[in-house]
Amino acid sequence: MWASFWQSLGEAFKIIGSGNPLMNEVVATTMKMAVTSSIISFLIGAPLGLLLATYNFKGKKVLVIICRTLMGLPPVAIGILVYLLFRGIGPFGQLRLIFTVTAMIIAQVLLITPVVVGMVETSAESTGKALFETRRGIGLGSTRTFLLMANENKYQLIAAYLFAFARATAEVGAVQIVGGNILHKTMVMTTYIALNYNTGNLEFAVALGIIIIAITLGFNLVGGVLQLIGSRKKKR
Amino acid sequence: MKIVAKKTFDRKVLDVNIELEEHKIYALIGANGSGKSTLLKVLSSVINPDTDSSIDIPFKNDEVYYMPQMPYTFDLSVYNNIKLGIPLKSSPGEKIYCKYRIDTMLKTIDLNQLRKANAQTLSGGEKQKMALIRSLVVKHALLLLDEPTSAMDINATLKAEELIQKYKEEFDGTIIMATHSIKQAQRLADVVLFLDEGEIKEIADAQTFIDHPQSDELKDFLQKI
Repeated sequence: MWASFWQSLGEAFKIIGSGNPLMNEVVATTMKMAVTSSIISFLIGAPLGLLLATYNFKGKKVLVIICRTLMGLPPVAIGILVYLLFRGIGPFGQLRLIFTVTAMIIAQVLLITPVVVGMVETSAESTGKALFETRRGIGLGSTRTFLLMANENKYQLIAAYLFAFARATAEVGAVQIVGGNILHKTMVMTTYIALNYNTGNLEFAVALGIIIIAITLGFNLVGGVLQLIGSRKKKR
Repeated sequence: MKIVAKKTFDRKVLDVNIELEEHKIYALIGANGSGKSTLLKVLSSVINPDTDSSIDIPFKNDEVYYMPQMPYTFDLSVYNNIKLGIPLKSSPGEKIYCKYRIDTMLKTIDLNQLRKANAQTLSGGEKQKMALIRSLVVKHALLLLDEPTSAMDINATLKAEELIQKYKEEFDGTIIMATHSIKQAQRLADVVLFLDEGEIKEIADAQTFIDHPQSDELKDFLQKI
């Protein structure tokens, strides 16, 4: 029973070692999509999360509820929404983005941004409350406060970005719908894994699964090292 | 200067209406829950005036500086934390003078050796020293200190008082400082305000407070400390 398992793993590593051009192309498309969508989500979500944690304003609770609702939306629902917006007869159909990497990035940004907002807001909330009196007492301006808040929560921000990247790399439902899994165009690791699994080409699916795990692990190791360096610097 | 500050929260927690002279150090004494911190927070607008609270003071928000009892320390070096007390709009000359003042105060209060240390690694007393220097870097129309030496030992407390006294002399500043220590009020304050149940019950110099307390509440308070 275990023999078949090890055999599949061995074949998968052979495929990885062979440097299959199609696999390299799929990995490159995935990286382009995941890095772009995670950076955009982070650039929108992190400031919004810090804003929600630091300031009280009218409509804040409504915004928090909207974000938390969007956090729980299934990827396929986002995929269908983006599909409806960007398909040929949709309101943005003339942009001709459907079944492109750009459409996949849009879907992922919609999917990941609320999660980044929620993560940053939750982790920075306690800092926001704690520094409120000091900030007001010192008379720190909004920009200075915002930059200080970002500095106070830098490790949480790193964690939020790593999560955004991992989510973007691992997501399959939305990108399948708006990307269409088109060879040499929108095929990414997760959709390629699903395709290979459905066609019985299990070794290819396993090889790509190993690559996804390795990439995510690599990113998290970098994040872990950054946190370690930061905590060591903090010691007197 | 006329100070009017009110706050209600289910019950009346603050109702202050007093006339104070500027350029003096006022010690605000009173038991726990008497409203000392609330008064300072209302005056500094840390508690925003709303339907439950109101203030009427002759200063703008940014002219009033408030040092909380448990100041927040940013994830920066001690020196950079203190530098946050220098207003951004300061001229280059003012900034140089502020840095000179910071250096002098760091040495006076024995914090100079930790100037490069991360402020979040400091002890409670050291954090208070740092926050006190930050509050004394430039002149404020009104400086509010909420038990600024509560976590310091007696030696550090005396040095902190020296800094407060120098600030008052150099800038001719007005300071309201909450304290639990009548001895500290005696050493430092020109005038002592006794706060009880959110109201100022007595105003006098510290010695008169001790020698001739008028209200029963003050007599009771002095007996307990």
